Amino acid sequence: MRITLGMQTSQTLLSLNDQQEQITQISQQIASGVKLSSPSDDPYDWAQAMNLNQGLQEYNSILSGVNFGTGWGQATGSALSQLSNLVSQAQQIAISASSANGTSQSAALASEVNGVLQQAVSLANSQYGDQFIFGGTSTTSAPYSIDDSTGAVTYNGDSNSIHVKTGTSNASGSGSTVVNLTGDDVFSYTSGGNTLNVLQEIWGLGQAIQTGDSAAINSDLTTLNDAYNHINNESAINGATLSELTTQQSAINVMQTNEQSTLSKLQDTDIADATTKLSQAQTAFQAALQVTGMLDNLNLASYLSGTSIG
Amino acid sequence: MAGLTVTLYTALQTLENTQTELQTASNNISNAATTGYSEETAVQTSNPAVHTTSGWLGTGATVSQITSARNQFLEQRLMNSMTDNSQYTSLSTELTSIQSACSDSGSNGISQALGNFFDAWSTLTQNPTGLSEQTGVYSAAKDLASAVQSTYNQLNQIATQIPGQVQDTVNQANQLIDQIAQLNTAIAQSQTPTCQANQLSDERYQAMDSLAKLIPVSFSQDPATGMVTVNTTDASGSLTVVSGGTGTHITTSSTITGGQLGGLLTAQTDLNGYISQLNTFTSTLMSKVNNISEGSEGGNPVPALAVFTGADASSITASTTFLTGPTSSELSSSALAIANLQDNQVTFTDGTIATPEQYLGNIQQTVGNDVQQANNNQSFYNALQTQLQTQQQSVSGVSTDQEMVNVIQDQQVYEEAAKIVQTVSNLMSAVISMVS
Repeated sequence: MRITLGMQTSQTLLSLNDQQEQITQISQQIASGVKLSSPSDDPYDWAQAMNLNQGLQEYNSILSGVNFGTGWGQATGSALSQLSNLVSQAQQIAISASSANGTSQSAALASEVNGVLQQAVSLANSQYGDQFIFGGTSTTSAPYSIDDSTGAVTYNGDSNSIHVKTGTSNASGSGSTVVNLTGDDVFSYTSGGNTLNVLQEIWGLGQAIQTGDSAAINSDLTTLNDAYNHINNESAINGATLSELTTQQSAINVMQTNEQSTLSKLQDTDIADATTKLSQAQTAFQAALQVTGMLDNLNLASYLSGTSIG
Repeated sequence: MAGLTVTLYTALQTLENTQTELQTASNNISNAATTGYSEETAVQTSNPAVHTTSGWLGTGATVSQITSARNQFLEQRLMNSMTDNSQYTSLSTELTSIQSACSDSGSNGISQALGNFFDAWSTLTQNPTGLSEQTGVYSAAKDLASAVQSTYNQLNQIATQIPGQVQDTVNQANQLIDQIAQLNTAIAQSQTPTCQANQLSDERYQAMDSLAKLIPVSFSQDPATGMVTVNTTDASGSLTVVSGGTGTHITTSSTITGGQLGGLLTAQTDLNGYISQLNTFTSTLMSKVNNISEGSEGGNPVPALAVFTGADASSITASTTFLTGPTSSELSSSALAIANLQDNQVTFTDGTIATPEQYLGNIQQTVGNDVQQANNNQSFYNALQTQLQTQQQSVSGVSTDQEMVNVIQDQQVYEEAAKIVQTVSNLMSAVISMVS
């Protein structure tokens, strides 16, 4: 093949450019720590990484929902356990009252019941953050009030459930958890075929003690016992929700870790690999430069000028 | 028999020939690095012999013509590779800037805003009437709308620039077409069978190379006149742009599929595709979200309020009052339904079934694939072009070594011819002194 000046330059330029481009690309990957800097680097991996990033973001928001549900559940649980203590306290007062003698003792017991009632009402108006936990979805105003003279209990809440997003929604689940127990769930219960209200029963006990109505006190003992059982049942329901949320939390944590490591494999630079490639490319580039330099002297004119023409 | 005078004139012609050859070599060396130059050769032919008693006697040589080394087949292949190379170079350049205009890694861009939007609704399920949760939803909706609009605007800006570039390319191509036609005329006037217009021809090849970078070019040369006919290809087939001294202009509405012009037109088509995908994404997302907030899916809030207004990516706007009115429980169920949109595949208006995030990922993948393909093609055709250029240079380029050898040869021939002149001169002096 006939070799001319133009050939040498264009060929050298192409290979030098190629090698330099490779070096730039690898050093960029090392400097930034990521091997994907634009979709065209690897379109499929890029889209995968994008979905993973988004999945991780969703997991964070799901975890926030799980944490919220757990906090709410714990607030509910502590309110229920205090409430169950109060009911059991009221039962003991009733037992004392059934054997009470004298108006002064009855009055003392009645005022003790009143104290229990006030605490129970304040538990019924418990808050998590600034939300009332027993008001259904009406969380902004206190759900319970009681008329001290008539014992009429007013419920300002509703019977709606609060669904919080605590998972991904798919064919097997809605992705949400009902975190609340409404006031009706907790404070209404049935005893002997009648629908009763815990607060009203405690108020009733106070009235019975004050009037010394021992028959009423005895029947209150039965209904309060049912109330106690009912509250413990609700507490168990709440406990089940809490344990479900804990399981969900650890599952999400595992998935987060998995996705994080998949993402890292997709987009992070393998430093050892990249450094090796870089030094390889550099060696090749230096060799090419050296050869280019040598070509410059390889022509007849420069040889002849050494020996001087004619 | 031939006399001494004939010998003297033959030597004189040799001296002249050698000077012509030296000048040709000198011209070659001086143009060794000139783009488009092709090596020239002074062709010597023997003079007619004269009949003498001793037989046919040669009378030296003449430089009959100066030819230029061209291989039309190679030139044509080189032009084709230039067309392909510049098509993918311009496509790759356009698509790369489009790619960075809509780049979205999942932790920035639209998909980030979309993720935040769903997060905000998810948080709203925890406290539907909470002020900070509601503010979060409003601002996330606003961010999403502006992220979509800003991507749309960036893409649209590029879309409005491409027609200008197409116009520039067409203008350049038309200038070159005129130039080739003019050179055709000039070559036909100055060329005779023995006297080739090498410089004009070099200039014309250069113009054709430049034209080949803009549009596909195929040419054929008429050996009688030296004129070329230049054709290009569009969707309907072959199209003559230069015939003899007449150039036919191309227009911006042409359907040419190669060269820089073809690259730009392809980029335009691709870009319109991305914009329409973005619009599909936006309008589908808007209708899904609004259907929930307006009550035709999921809950049934009263009053029904749209979250987004507008028609597509260019006009999507977030309403600022969509949480005012519905009850806490209605908001709660809408919020959950909207937050759950991110988990479920929906049918987009173009028929794609995917989650909103997957659809965004799909757009990125499409853009990425197109850029990757253009880049790969570009580096392939660039290498091919270099290879063909090497072949073309092997034929038409100047080899300085060869020129040096020619110069040495010319030098020796010149010295020898001078020796003959000296010898003849001595002989003639001898003859003159004999008769005086």
